[in-house]
Amino acid sequence: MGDRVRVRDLHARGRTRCPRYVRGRCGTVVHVDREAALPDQAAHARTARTELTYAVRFEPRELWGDDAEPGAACVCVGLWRSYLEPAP
Amino acid sequence: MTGPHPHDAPPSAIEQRVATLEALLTDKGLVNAEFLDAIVRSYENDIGPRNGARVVARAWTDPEYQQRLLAEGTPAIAELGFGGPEGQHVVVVENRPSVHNVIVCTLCSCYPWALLGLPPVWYKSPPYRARMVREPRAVLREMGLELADDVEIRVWDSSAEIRYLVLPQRPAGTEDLDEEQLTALVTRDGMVGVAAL
Repeated sequence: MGDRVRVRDLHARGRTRCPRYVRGRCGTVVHVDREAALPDQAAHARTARTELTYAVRFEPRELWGDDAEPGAACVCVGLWRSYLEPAP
Repeated sequence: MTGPHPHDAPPSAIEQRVATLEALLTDKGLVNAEFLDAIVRSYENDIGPRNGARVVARAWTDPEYQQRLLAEGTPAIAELGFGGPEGQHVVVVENRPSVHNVIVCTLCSCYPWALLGLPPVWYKSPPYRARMVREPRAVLREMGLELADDVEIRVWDSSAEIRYLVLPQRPAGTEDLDEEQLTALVTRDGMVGVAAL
């Protein structure tokens, strides 16, 4: 909780549940959620690694730059552990 | 975003595809048609936004319940008998005067079925899914909810396995209402976060 993270710039050839609009963006962990099977593996094999998932909060300017909509807002996105790395 | 929806139109390509798949699966004995019908009936008739409304009304009238609900949604919701598919891991997010929560699934249409029933068509539409993370204030305004610039809009993208339920603010002037009467005030849109109550 509270950790600054960056979403890894992954480009899976198969399935993933890592939304494109957060790849490469930095955010803050606001909730440690449950462990869940990693979709990138589960879609292609009988067994898949389970990993913790997190709710990560992103500020609009981090996602949309100067085109961010004015006003207070944020987007919280559910992400698997291996989609994340420590923020630089 | 809801627009007119003709009911006498021929089945769409996806409807035909689903019907063909179901016929094939039934013919091969892989699924039981009555079992499928029972699931559909249950979501059409028995499981709907009233489940979520009961959770909200209980939270409004019982501060200890509200505390349990916000700390850990799933077991508190199970106390009222709700759970099951798309309701096994629920986080409840609370609206306050300074914070407004709204839910979306940008990747598909994840939605807390066990509490709200099946998602409405607009929730599954690409414009809602794309724009709610990009310009939530504009989308909410178009849907009839105007929020001041200093109210923080928190958009929850259900891209992993958590399903979210918005706990709306209790409307002013409802102090004398009991839990049953309050339940009637809670709308599906309020629990998705695209409307205030």
